[in-house]
Amino acid sequence: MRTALLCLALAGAQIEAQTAAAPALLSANQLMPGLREAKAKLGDRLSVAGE
Amino acid sequence: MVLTGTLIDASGSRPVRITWQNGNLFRLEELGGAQRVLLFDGTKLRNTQGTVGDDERRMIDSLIAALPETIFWQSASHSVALRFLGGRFRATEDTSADYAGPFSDVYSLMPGAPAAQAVFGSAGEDLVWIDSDALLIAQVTHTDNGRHIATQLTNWTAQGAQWYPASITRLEDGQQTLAFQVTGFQVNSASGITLFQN
Repeated sequence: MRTALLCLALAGAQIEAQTAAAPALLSANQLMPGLREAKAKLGDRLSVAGE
Repeated sequence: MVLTGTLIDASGSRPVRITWQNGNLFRLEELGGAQRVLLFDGTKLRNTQGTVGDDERRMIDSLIAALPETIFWQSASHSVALRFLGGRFRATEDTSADYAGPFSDVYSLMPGAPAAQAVFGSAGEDLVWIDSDALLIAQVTHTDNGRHIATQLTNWTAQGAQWYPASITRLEDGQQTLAFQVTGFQVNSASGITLFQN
């Protein structure tokens, strides 16, 4: 638990540093690479017009 | 997107069909057993066989709210607040250098809008765990009255360029309370709104 909390604190500090240093849109992209990749694995089914 | 398969929970085993459509519309049909049909047309959640109680809420929570489609749709439509908590978390407190995995990237997802709360069931926080190496959603977790609820998405299967979880399992404080084995996956053209109303 202590390790996880430390990791969480470090990650939070890193996020704050990135957010402060980069424009909002760029920092959002930097923060969520895994999420974007995970969506890409779904193929185009979330992107089909009208579906 | 249509998932068909077998649902096993306290009510027994029966075939179920889930239709999910962009806009976060869904139709969850029991094709056996009580033959409930749970519907959400974007604004109203209903059960054709009665009220939406704990059993129905449990089904919606794990079979709809935890679907990758719902997660991504909610995050893209800004009806939830999404926050990156950190990358490559270990599953245990194993701090050894040769720890082989799994590792997870964890996101906090906080439903805010009423429509999102209708699907997610509460205004509480969900954690979305993405496998850091496979880059697929591994589980979605939250706490409910002090109980740890986890919906695990496993046996990810590719059909063409489209991946889907072939097994969805719900654990409440570590005890399995629901399992859905997917036997069919289809991506179809959009249906009319009435499919999600009646």
